[in-house]
Amino acid sequence: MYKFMRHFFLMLLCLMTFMCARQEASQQEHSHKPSGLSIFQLNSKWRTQDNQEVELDILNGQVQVLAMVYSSCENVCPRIMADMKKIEQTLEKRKISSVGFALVSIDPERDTPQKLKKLQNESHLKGWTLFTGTETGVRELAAVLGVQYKKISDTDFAHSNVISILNKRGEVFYQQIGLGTNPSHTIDNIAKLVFVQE
Amino acid sequence: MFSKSVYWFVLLFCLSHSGDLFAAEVTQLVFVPGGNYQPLYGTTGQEESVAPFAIDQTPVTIEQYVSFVKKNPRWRRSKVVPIFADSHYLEDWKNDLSPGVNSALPKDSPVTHVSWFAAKAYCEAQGKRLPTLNEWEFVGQASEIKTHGSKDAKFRQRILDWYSQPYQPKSVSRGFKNVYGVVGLHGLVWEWVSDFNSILISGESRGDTGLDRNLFCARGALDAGDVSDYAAFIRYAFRASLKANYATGNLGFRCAKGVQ
Repeated sequence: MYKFMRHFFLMLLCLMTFMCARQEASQQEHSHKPSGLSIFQLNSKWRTQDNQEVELDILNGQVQVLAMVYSSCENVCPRIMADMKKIEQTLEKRKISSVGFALVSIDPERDTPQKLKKLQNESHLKGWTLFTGTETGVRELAAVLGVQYKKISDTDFAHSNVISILNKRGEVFYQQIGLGTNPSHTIDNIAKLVFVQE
Repeated sequence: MFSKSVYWFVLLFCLSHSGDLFAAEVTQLVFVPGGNYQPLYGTTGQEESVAPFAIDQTPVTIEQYVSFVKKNPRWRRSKVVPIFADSHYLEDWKNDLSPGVNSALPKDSPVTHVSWFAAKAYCEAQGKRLPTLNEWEFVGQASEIKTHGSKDAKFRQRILDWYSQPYQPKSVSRGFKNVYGVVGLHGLVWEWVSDFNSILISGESRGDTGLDRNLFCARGALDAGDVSDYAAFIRYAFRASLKANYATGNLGFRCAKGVQ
């Protein structure tokens, strides 16, 4: 009986080792594992206006002001950018620094890194990060940010106007909805995040 | 002595793989020929065309979803990331792998309390994807006998009657079969689509008000089509209220696939 038990447990040990090896290989972990509510959980691939291949976690570590637009947008997108610039200027006046500004294109097919570079230069978006990705990546990011969008022609999209404020860990902390909204609440929320020790 | 150990080893080995032996079968795809249709909220007055596609005959069942989470631990309730599925994810399950099926909750009833990300992941694991809103609405127009059944007031009323009943889990085979052979698009559960966040309506959906113009870019280009299709209104309003990580009790999904 005793001999049998020894054999049995030996076999059991082999089996358990075998089963552990079978389990799904754990995700490759970066040195900073993103929090459960961070947009950096999305592993979509993007290119910046400088043609750098990146993931969204390039934005990690800094409070971000982020909106989804597209470069051939005639009327409204310039107004979203103007609203973001107003936030940028107000932060400068209040001497709040270390805040990033980001634009993500909802038209990845037509918005190449070169087009984004052109947009940056023409709209004077110094220091901003502009992203172009894949249709799937864009749909997922919009879903996570609560941005609605729909292609309505070969060149145009209808989309909601939302400026998202992300904390240093990439979690959506606050959103400014609509155009021409008074940015004072947004600024207050940004200030809260900038001075939090993370 | 040795043969007894081998016996135990083989028994344990088989038990560890029993999940695979009883894995639920993957749903059959139904071919849907393309065509034009008038979406409820589309570019004003214009029909949209839908390319031919294939769609699951029935919604994904609890049994099928159990197989999926067995093979994909990151989609188990205890492991899932909050941005991908909220606290209601699989909330009525006993534990990670046990949905607690019984006569009131058949194992071949639609899986519910699943988020958009979870539904997408399930479909991708089958080499499929979620249907687009246009694909779903296109195939959802059909009654048992007509492709454009939604023009039939009696069929629309049946759908509204289904929507007004409290949710009761039913075997997917009990759904009605439409003229394409797709089962249970109405009368079982609400279903996720790949572009659920392509609906631009605010609470004030009477048209292009000043409020709308600030909330949405080019919103004025979109308008309601056939306003007598109230069932479609309900579906669109429901979709517009969703967030990607929501997991509610009467919302499930089925998968689709492009055809060349």
